[in-house]
Amino acid sequence: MRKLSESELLTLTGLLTMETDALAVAKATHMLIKDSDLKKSAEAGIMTAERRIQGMQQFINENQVLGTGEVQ
Amino acid sequence: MSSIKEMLGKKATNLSDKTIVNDTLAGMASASNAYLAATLKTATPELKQLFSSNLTQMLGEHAALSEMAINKEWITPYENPENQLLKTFNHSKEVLNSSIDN
Repeated sequence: MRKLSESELLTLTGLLTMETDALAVAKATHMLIKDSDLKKSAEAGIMTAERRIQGMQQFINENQVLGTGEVQ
Repeated sequence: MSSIKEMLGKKATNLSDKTIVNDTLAGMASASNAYLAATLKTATPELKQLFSSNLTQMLGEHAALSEMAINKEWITPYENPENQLLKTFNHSKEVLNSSIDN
């Protein structure tokens, strides 16, 4: 894969930040939900958000986006 | 003993399921816009694919959550627009006049 441009790096950073912050809010809000259907839906949403974040982390690692190989 | 005004204020400021759904849907709409813009802007095919796949996933979740919110009548998109505005207007007054919880 071609090396990412600075603009692409910033976009990726922005989206990863957005997903991470949204996940933190979703986890905190989860305990305030009373409706059982909404609670289940929120749990599913949290899991898919975790998968999207893992996908982005994997993309960064596998494509050595940070140039240092595996990022811890 | 708390006064009626205090009770109304507490009711308006408590985070209800409806408020959580509205906020989540708004957040998902913003995130979808961000993913669409990123998908269109990026030149690298692998990154475009990642963003596009995240956008598709987000659209699916948004559709499912909207459907649930409509079924539970937390949102009423087919109601008369003037009634929708009136309800929102009244709710905005309640929240504005509510006291801050300690």
